[in-house]
Amino acid sequence: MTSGSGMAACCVRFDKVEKTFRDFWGRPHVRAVRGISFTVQAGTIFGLLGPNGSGKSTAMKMMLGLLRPTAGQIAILGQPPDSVAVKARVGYMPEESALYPFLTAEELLNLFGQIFGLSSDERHERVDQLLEMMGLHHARRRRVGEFSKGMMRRLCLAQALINDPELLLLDEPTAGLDPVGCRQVKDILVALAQRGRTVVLSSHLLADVEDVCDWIAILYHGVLCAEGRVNELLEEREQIRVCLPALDPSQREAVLNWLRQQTGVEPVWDHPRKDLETVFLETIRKAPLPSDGASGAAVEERRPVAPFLSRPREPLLP
Amino acid sequence: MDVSIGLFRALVNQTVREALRQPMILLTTTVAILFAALMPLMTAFHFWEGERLIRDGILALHFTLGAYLAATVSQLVMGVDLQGRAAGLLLCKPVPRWTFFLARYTGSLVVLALFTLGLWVAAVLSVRIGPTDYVVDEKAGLGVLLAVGAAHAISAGLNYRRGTPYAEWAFFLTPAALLLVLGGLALRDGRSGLVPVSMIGSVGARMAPAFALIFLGLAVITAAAHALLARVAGVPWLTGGVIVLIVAGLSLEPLLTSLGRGVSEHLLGKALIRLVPSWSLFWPADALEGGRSLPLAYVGWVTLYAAAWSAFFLAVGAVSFERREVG
Repeated sequence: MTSGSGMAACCVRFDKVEKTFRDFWGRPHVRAVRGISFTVQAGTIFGLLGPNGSGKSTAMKMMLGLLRPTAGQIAILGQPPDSVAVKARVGYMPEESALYPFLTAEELLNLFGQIFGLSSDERHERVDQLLEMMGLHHARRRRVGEFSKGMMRRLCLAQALINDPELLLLDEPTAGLDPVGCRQVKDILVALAQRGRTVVLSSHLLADVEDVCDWIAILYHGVLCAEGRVNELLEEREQIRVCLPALDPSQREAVLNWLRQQTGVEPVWDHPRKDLETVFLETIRKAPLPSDGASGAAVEERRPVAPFLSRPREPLLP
Repeated sequence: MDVSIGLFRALVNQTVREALRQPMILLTTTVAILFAALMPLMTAFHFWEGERLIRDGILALHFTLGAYLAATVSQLVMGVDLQGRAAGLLLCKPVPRWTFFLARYTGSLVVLALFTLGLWVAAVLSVRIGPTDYVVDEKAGLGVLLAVGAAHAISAGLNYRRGTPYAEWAFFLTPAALLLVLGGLALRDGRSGLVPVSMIGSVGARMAPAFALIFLGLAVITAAAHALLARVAGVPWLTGGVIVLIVAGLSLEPLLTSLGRGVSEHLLGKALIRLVPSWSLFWPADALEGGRSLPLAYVGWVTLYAAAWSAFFLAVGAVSFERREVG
C-alpha cells in the first residue's frame, strides 16, 4: 500500500516490519508490530492512527533507529533509520515530553542547535524564531522542569524543528495541548507540508488527524487494518450535500418539493454547525487579557511560521 | 571533524550542567568540603606526622564520598536519562552512540574533578586550621563556615535577581570562597608568622598527587558504572556492581594470600587478582608517612593503570550501548 502518487519520492518505507519485545530472559513478551508495510510520499502529512497500545509509538521509534525491527526492512529517506546522516534530516517530537528539567528553554534549544552543527548566529536566530512561534519567548530563561504540560509540548515541537527537517515525525503532537495550541500545531504542520516537508504523525485524536492529514493508516494490535487517502476513506460517495443561504419557510418548502420530484427521495435539511474548536477560539480571542500578564504559553491565534521554516524546499532524496 | 568536536563539547557541557544543577550533588560536595576543612576542630588533632587521623580521614572521605558521587552522577546522566527517555531525544538526532556514551563519561569526570579540587582546597585549609597538636585556629574555622555560607547566599541572591541556577553557582563559588579564605589567612600569617605560608604550600603540593591518585580510582569506578548502565537499568544493578567491584578490588588479593601463598601465586589466583582493579594502588596514605611525597613516576604508572582499566570498561560499555534499544 502506498500513499500519494507513484511518481512522488518515497520518504518512509516499511516492508513487512515486525517488532517483538522480549523479557529479561530473552523470551518473546509482546508482539507490538506484526508485519506492516506502507510507504509515505514526500510532501504529504501521513497519520498513523490507532488506539493505545496499537504499535504507533513503536513504529515511530523504529523509524528513528531507537528500536530495531525483529523482522522486515525500514528505509528513511532511502537509508537505514539508524544512519547518522539520515538523522540530520529528521525532526522528532516524542509522545512524552522527556526533556532536561534543569536546563532553560533557551539552553535546551541551543543544545539541539549545537548537535545539528548550526553556527552560533544561525542558532540564536532559530531559537528566537521558534520560541516566538511557539509563544514561549517570555519563558525562555525558565527551567524546563517548571513548564506546564502544554508548554512542554510546545517546546518539544520547537526542538523538532530546529534543524528545519525534511521529515518530521510527531508522536501524539496535540496530546496535552489546549485548543489554541492544537490549532496552532495543525496550522504549522499544514504550512510545513505546503513548503515541501513531509510529516508523519501518530495520534488517537481522530478530529486532529482528519483536519491535517492527507493519508492515514490505521493500526490495531500491531496490524495495519486500513490505509488510504483521507478524503477517499471518509467520503460517502452515495450521498451529496448542497449548502444554501438561509431561506424563508415557503422558499425552503419549494426547493424541497422540487428535489422530491426530481429524485424521488425525501431530502433531509438542517442548519450547519460550527465545530467546537472554532467557537472556543473565537471566545478566547475576544476575552480580555489579565493586567498582570500570563504565566503559561502566550495565546495568540495564527502565529506566523518561523521565517527560517518558511522557505520552500524540494525534499533532497538520494 | 570540527562538527564532531563541537558535538562532543556540547554533550559534555550539557552533562556537567545537568549534573551540577541537581541538589544532591551540591549537598554531597558541600558536606564533604565542610567536613574536611573543619576536621581539626572536630578531632583536635593536627595534620602532621604521628597524627594521621586528619590526613587519612580526608583521603578516606574523598574516596568514599567520591565513590558515592561517581555512582550518583553516573546514575543521573546515564540511568535516569535512559529510563526517563530524554536520552532517546538526543539519540534520534545525529549523535553517534559512542559519542553520547563518551561525552556522558567525560562530563561525569569533570564533576568528579571539580569535587576533588574543592576537597583539596579544604584539605589545605584543614592544615592551616590545626597547625599543631591540640592547637586549632577557631577564627580560621569560622572563616570557612562564613565562606561556605557566603557562597550559598550569593548563589541564592543571583537566583533571586537573575534566575541563575542556584546549585550550579553554589558548587563553583564554594571552592572559590575557600580559596579566598586561604589567601586571606596566608596574608595574615605572613605578618604574624603563626604558620609559615611555605609550609601550607608544601603540604598542598604534597597532597595534590594523593588526591590525583584517588581521583584516578574514581575515574575507574565511573567507567565501570557507565559500562553497567549502558546495558542494564536501575539502581540495584549499579549499586551491586560498584560494591562488588570495590570490595573485590580491596579484598581479593589479601583474601587469596590468607588462603596460603600457593593460592595467590598460582596461575589461576594471579589471573583472578588481575581480573579486578586493585584499589590499593590508588590508596596513597602510607606513602605520605614521615613527610614523604609520592614519586611522580608512581603517579604516572597508576595513571596508565587507571587509563587501561577505564578504557577496558568504556570499550565494553560502548559496544553494549551500540546494540541497546532506547524505548
